[in-house]
Amino acid sequence: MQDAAAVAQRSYRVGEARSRRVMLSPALTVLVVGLVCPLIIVLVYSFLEAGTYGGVEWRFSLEAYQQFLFQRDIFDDSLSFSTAYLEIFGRSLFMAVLATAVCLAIGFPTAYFIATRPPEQRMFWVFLITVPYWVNLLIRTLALLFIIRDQGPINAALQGLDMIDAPLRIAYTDFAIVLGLAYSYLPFMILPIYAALERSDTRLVEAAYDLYASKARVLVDVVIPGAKAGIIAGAILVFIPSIGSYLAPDILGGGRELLAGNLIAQQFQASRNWPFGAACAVILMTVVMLGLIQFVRSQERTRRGEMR
Amino acid sequence: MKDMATSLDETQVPPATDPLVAKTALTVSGAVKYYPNAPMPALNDVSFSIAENEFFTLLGPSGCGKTTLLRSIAGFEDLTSGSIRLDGDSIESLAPNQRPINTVFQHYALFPHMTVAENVAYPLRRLRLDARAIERRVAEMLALVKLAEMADRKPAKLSGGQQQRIALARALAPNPRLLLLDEPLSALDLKLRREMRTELKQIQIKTGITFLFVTHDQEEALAMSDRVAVMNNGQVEQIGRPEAIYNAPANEFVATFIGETNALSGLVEKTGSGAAQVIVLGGIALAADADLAVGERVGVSVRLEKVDLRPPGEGAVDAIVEQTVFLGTDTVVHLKVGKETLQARLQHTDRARPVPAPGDHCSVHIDPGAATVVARSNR
Repeated sequence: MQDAAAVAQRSYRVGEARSRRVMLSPALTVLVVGLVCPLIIVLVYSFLEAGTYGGVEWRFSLEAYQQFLFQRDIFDDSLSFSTAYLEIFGRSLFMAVLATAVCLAIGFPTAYFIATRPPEQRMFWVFLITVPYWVNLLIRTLALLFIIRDQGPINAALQGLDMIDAPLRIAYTDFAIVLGLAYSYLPFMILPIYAALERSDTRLVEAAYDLYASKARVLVDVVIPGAKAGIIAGAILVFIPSIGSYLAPDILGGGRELLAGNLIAQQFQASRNWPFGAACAVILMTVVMLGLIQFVRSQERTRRGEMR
Repeated sequence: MKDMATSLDETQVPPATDPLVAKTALTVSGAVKYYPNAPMPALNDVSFSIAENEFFTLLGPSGCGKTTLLRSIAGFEDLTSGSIRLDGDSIESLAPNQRPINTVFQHYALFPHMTVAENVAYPLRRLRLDARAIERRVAEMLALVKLAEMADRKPAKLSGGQQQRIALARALAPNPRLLLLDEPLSALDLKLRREMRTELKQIQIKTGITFLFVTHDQEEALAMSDRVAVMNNGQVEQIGRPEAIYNAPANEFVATFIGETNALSGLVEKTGSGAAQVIVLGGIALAADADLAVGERVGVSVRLEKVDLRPPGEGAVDAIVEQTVFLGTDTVVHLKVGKETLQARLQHTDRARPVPAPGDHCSVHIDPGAATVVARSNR
């Protein structure tokens, strides 16, 4: 009897493993073709020499990584430490952090508003959030440029009301870039926070309110801790595309000051230095990944602490 | 000796619960609550008052309005009309965080990201007590619920019963004028529930705080309460001490909801000077003190344990045993009396008298004073 049960269980397990492989294969194919292969190509290219007219020469070289930190003197070929590219990455980081903060400041109240609507109305509000995103990102970014430029409706209205004499300089500033980034990725902040708030325990809100907490204290002590997972997910989802973003800095910032995304794009287009572009991409990705791993680890630690 | 007798008397009938002597803590009068889009009111003219130091229970089936009433007293719902007074002052305009009333929630509602001690300290912090006083009060409360050693744990690490005690400690910490308990024991298993009953009652006596307890469990209500209000369809059906509710139910709903009962149909045979004789099961005469008319049909409630089984011929009517259900301390016997059914609960104390088996013939005796008239037919 026991043997029969063991055989049955083993054949069940074999069958289960086979069907699991079959079910996973489409997703695995997409991941391998669309993610792993390109990443390997980028990684390999970053260790090759640049071709004269773009492309690569198949010779191993660390030149690209060297170029990131050191400047080669045109006359005597000597290397000197240069922070030019580090500054670009630093500025990208700063912009991404600002954009994430702006998204959080706008996204949390929005998500809270939706989560506190009657259940049958919530889907409608979520739907409204997604409407602007039916339009292509490039077109939306260009539209934003038309709104904030010197001759745009904002400046026209302010001038028409005699509130300002000369047009406000909004377009082609760092402010415009942050605005564009926040606008591009706002739903990625709103939706996870909304999901967390909707799942959070409203009874805890009542309990705090019953135990003499003011409405502000209820928000700080119960609502925000309850939505923490959503806030973290939203911040990651906004921060990562923001730091490597290309469109908003290029169009709204006028490409005057380079950000990481534009620097990389430039290497593949105008500068025709593919290995350097690939190296920049690898460095950016590594920095972001290490930062995320560190963050996730610290989260795990506090969670384990909570379960202690 | 005399002193002891009076003190004993006092424990049986705490003076605080005597509405004539005790100070009134809470008064609800004419409470009506309509929810939007609901045709029937959730509360339909509910009035009662709770004396200081009393353990008062709202008992009723789900949807009877007891939770709405509790939430209105806590401040989470507004009444459509009627008033709620605490120590004589109207509290309707106060928000929940302004009412000196705390709630023990059904599912505890402990803050998961705070430790047990932080949970208990929470209301004290919001009331801006100084740190030393908070620390002392938290220790006192954790000792009261016997969980001092759990102070630094997170609620997720506690069992259901422990979480329940922490919720109680947290709600008692600010020493509220009134403690509301919203079915606090319903999520616990039976054994724990019974233990917690005794403990809740002890804590109430020890702290001297007025308890308003909400439950659908009649056993819980009878076991702990000084007085019980039985609710149904948004109305209070009866208010009284547990014994009065059990032994003299005001109507059929109370009789059937509290404990198990035989709801019988009776015919009034004789009347005179405020007493009447009612015949049930075609031959058992019962006394009724209600003002009834001869020939009137009435509903009569007879508790299962009041039905006495005797050998054939010795009782008033004959019966056949249909089924017996063994319940440990006692056995419920289902009987057929003519066309009517009757249930009797036999305790296993009398070893000489065996429990009858299905198919046995026997006869039924009911003490004339054991019945309560609970319903009157429309004349």
